[in-house]
Amino acid sequence: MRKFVVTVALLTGLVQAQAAISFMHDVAPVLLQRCEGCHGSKKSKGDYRIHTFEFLSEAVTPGKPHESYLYTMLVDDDPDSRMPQKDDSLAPSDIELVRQWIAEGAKFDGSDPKMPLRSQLPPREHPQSPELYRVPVPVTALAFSPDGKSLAVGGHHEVTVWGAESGKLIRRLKNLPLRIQTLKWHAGGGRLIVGGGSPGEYGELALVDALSGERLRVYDTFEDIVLGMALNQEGDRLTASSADRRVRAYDLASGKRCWESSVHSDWVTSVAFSTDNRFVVTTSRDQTAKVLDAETGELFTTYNGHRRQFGEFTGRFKVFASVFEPISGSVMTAGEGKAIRVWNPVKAEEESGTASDMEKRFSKAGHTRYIEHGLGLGVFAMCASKNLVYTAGADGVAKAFNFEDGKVLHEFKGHLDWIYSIDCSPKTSRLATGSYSGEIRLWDTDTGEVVNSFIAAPGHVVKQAILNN
Amino acid sequence: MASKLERIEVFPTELNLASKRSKAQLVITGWLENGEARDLTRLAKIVIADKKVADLNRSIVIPIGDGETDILIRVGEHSVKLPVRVSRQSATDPIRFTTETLATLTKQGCNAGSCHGSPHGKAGFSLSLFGFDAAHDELSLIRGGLNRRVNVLAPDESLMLKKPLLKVPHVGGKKLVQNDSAYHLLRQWIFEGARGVIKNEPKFVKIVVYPKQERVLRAPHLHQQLSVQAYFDNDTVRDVTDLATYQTSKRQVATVESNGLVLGRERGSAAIMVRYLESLESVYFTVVPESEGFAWLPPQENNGIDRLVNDRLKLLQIEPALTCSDSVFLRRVHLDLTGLLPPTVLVRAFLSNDSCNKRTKLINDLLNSREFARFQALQMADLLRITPEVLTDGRATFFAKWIEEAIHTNQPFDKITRQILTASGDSKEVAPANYYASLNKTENTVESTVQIFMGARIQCAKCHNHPFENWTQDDYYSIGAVFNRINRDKGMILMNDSGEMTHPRTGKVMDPWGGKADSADPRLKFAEWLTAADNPWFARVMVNRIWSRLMGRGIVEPVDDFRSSNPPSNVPLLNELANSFATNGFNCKQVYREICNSQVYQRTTQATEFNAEDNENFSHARVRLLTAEQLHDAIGYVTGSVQPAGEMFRVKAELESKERERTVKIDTNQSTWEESQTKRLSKLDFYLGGQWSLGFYKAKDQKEAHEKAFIEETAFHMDLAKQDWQLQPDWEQSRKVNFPENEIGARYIYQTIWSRVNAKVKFHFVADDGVRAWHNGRLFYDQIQILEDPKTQYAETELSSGLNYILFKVNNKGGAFHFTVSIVEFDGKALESASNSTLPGHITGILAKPVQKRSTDQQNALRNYHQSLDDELVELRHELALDVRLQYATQRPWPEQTDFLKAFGQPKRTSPCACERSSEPTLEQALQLLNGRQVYDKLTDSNKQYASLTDHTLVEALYLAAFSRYPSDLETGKAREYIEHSENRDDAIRDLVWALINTQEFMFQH
Repeated sequence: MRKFVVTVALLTGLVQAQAAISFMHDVAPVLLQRCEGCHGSKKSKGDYRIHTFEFLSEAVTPGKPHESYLYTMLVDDDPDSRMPQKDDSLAPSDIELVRQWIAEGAKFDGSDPKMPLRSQLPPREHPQSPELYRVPVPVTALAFSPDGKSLAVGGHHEVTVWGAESGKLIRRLKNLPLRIQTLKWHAGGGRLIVGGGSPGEYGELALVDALSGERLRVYDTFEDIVLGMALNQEGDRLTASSADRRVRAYDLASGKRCWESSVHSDWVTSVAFSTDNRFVVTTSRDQTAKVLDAETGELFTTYNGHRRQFGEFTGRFKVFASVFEPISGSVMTAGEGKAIRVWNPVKAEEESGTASDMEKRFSKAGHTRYIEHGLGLGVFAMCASKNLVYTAGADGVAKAFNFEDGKVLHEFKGHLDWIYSIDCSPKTSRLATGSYSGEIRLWDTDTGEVVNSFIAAPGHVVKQAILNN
Repeated sequence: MASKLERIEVFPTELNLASKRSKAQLVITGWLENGEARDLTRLAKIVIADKKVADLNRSIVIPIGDGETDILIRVGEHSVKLPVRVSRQSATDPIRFTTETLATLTKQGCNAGSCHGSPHGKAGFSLSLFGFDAAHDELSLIRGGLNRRVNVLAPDESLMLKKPLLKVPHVGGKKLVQNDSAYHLLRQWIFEGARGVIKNEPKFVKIVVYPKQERVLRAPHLHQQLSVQAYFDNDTVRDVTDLATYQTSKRQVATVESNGLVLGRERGSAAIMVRYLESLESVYFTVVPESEGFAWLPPQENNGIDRLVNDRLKLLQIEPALTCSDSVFLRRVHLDLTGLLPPTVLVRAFLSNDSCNKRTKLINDLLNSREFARFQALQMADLLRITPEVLTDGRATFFAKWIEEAIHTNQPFDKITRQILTASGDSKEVAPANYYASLNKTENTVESTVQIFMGARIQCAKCHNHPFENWTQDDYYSIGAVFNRINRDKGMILMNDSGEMTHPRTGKVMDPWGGKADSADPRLKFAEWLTAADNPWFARVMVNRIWSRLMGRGIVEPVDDFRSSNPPSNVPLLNELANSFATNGFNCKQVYREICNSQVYQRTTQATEFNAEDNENFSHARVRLLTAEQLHDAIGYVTGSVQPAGEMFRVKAELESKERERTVKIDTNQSTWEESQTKRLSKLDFYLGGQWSLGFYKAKDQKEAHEKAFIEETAFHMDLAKQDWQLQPDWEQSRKVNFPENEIGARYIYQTIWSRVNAKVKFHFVADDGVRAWHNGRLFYDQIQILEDPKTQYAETELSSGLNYILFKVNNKGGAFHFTVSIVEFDGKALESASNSTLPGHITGILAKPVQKRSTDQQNALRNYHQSLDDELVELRHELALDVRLQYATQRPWPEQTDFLKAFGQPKRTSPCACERSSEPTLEQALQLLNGRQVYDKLTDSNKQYASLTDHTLVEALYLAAFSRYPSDLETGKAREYIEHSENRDDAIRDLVWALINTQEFMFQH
């Protein structure tokens, strides 16, 4: 409900120009953009930080801008000491906002003065998408509708919905984040859950009406782009991961955040619910996969099979994708390197340890199975259906592997660029892949033949659909 | 300057703008009548005839439309016409990834070593250092990082722009400004599709920088515009003045703007380093600001060095200093050449000498002294890292002595270098082979050799092309190929027949530097190339080292950091010194002689208004802290705790004559001693001769080892001189014979036993494998493999009266073990100790022989043993072996590493870098001098040296010793007063000595 109010407040911002300054709406975004690089969690020049309100307020004397260091530094006459140093000064209107806010008592209207301000910023209003795309954008997310007939694709500040077989643009759901990194259909195809953001500064997880495109709810905002998202088997629990290293879980119906986890030390690239809903598995650029308790978010175990020093497939690899095998309860994780790792969270916990010979034990007795995928630059995305797993790789080839024996069933060749996204529709026996060049290819999972291909960019000439030869 | 403008010149000389994005920086030079150049780029009037073809942005020509026109450049009455051709203005010309995008990232500092160019990048984003790996960067920027860094549809949303613009927090700070050309280029590159390397893209070949020759920036014209043109393999040329990066070698002297405008600041010289992609060029500048009231008065010139130094001083308007006094000169040159203070005798003589060539004569005397050779050898040994810890078994001394001898006899430096670099063989026998023996790896050998003989620090090029120099990874590994075949086996330096060097990145097998060798030893060609008269480094590096030793600063400084971006402070001087060194057969002493005789060397340290700030042009001498070893010896000399330098030989001669006298005396008792010993021995039941060993003889298996006679085993007695029998005096106590591991074969052990009567004797021995034993040629024990455990065995034989000959043969089938043997029973009686003689076995053995049957060697052995029993003689010989010179730190190849020496910067000799010797003043130094243990100990006895003198002569002697000068009346008065008023004269003298060695005049060389 609060989010809704916030949205209204933003929309009516101009009207209320004379009203009191809001710290979260007016002041924090400016300070975060211009000051946080030097005065934030990573760097704290002059021992001053502004990434939480608690720290920021150390240099503020409420009601007295000219006694507030935060303000006087912005208007210092000496260009060498004026902030931001070695950069243009703040716009006069922004400086005035800071002054007025302090003069009005420097009130904090966020939710938690100890939490990073960036994670409390209200959801952004997004600019319009271009009517026609000058160039296609890389397809970083795509998802089949439950009936398999349409395909939702991440675009520029929007999700575009295409007829899977026709390759025709059906609908554009606008006013969404700059990049869409993850998409899931929900409510029988009536809604879409959308994760994305602007790299390095903003992440958003939102619920969108699949027909009207209305942003029904913003579950959360993040400090960096949202990269992964998953729904549990019942469809009542949502989890998402971000490049800001966080993983969060929500109650789908109420939108309430259930837990947050910050156990990774780098981007969290994907999340997946275990088949029995007991675990959430996360993968990260920090070369690990983690198993979290789906109820509490607590760390259950860390899987180190992507940074091995002994045995087969040694090396240190970033992990990009995870998917649970529907039947056995095993998870598959993949990223850089030559092989997909198939492992079981419970066994991984049993094999885990702190003893120095852990790696050696692991190399001998580890239960992990390795499926050598033969994709040179690694795997970015995976999806599973029945007993098959489909992988998308940087060398433009997608492959289908049998879960049990790791044998290749099909190779889907035809993309001329890196494949970033993949989804399969068991209902229609279709596989969709999306590439850096903006091309989407639709494949028949039974035959491995390409069915259709088109550029998912409004305004771009759609290639003639190739239907059954 | 009053010099008139003679003509003007414009660069480039023709303009061909064949792309919408092409442009050209004009550089306009005015040549004055006196030959100097002046940058007129910003003063000239530039007019373009047809503005529909081209236009101007300040002094940069930009194309407008296809066609041809002229640019007219005018300065006063001088003018130049420059034709311009503009074409392809309607054709597209996309931004090129390597030559533009990456060059821009380099220019903005993104891929610097401290930022994203570090080996693992920064904050998860990695670029190759200065863009040398375009494939890596393409991946990293465009598709890598989940494609988060570029956004082709909305370029302004690209993280790679927002971060450096600080639109998104960036730990690296603001690196782009929205309106400058770097931003526009990167944005345009993204807009055009963020494309990586495209096939058939023209390849970059080289850059040409204008001006190329050194320029003098004379006030008020303290600026110079640069132009940088890049040449491509499709014969096109592009102006990359705004893409190149610029760096100054000396910020105080000259700075450079990002558009290539050089600004002169303070007086001096600086290099401006221009980098574009992998190319580096340096342009040298001499900056001469206004110097009011300066007038050049031609100074005294002794030789060519003076002329070249003064030319430079005149140009820079720096005043040369006057010549120093005799006292200062004597102390300075004595310290520089020998490391020692001049002895007072020499000081008195020199100061009272009226001859006008006394300085030249002194220089010659010093250059011929042993002290010179030793002190220079010390400095050479620093570089070659001669330490007894690494070069064990006396090899360090051996190598150091060899160097000292080479310096003393003034061997040509190219010859010494070739001997060092091509040495092979046992480093115990081939002195120069110790250079390689002290370097454990090919990499170390490459880096040391290049730093010592070529004055370059090539280490960076091991992993990537050198960031500040044209040394590439290829160079590194091709020099590596020269040394990669060296086989260091326990001090043996051998050349393997093969041993290729492969480039770690490309995997290519490298050809050795200096050319592919005809023989298996590529070092020969390398050494030949290195020591050739026209080698660009060899002669220059050595003369620069000598110059630095004498002047306290190299012409290139640091002396082992030769690179185009670290220019010599006086190019003609360095060239001239190097040329004459090379043409005079690399005669080192001649270089020392020339420099010492120059007025430049003999200048005072006294600075004037017009030279005080000069630090690198040798206008005045530098005040230098004595080096650790010099200070150590100087304190020793002044306090009288070491012999004065001139005394060294006298003391040695004295010791030698004493030793001779004593030896003669001992020898007169020789026969008496021998008789008494023989008599004593004859009363014993038996006694043993020395133990000798022979072998190891290799065999193919144990059976062969045991059974094959490697020598005539049954011979009655062995001719110890004929075969390589080794006396093993160490075995006498434990009777241990060591067998090496993994050696199959046998070793013989031979011993004589003298017995008074016929008697049974029982041997006890321990061996792992098998043993045979003969008595007087008769086999009395034979066991190929002892099986019992413990493996102790007994063997008996019957000795006959007189001498008996016992031979053991011990076989080894593999593992390492000891063999021990002793006699446990004689004539049925158990023995308590193995030997019953107080003499060593081999002496006993000789004494057992009749006098007339002893060989000369044996007689000498007896004589030496007898002499060794005399304590006095042993003491004398010990002192002689110590060698008095070893008391001097400057006269030893490796001074002991004391706290005192370390405090004053003595190097540890673990690096070939001249910087290992520190000259930084530290608190530790002050503490050492004020009350350090070493100084205290030396002071304690210092009164002995002076106590017998009268107060007046005492003060004089002290000043002559410490400062090489007579004290002034005031100084004498004060010192005498202090002594007279003290209660204890000895203490007062000590105080005075302590005070003098703590003065600046003493600690420093002036």
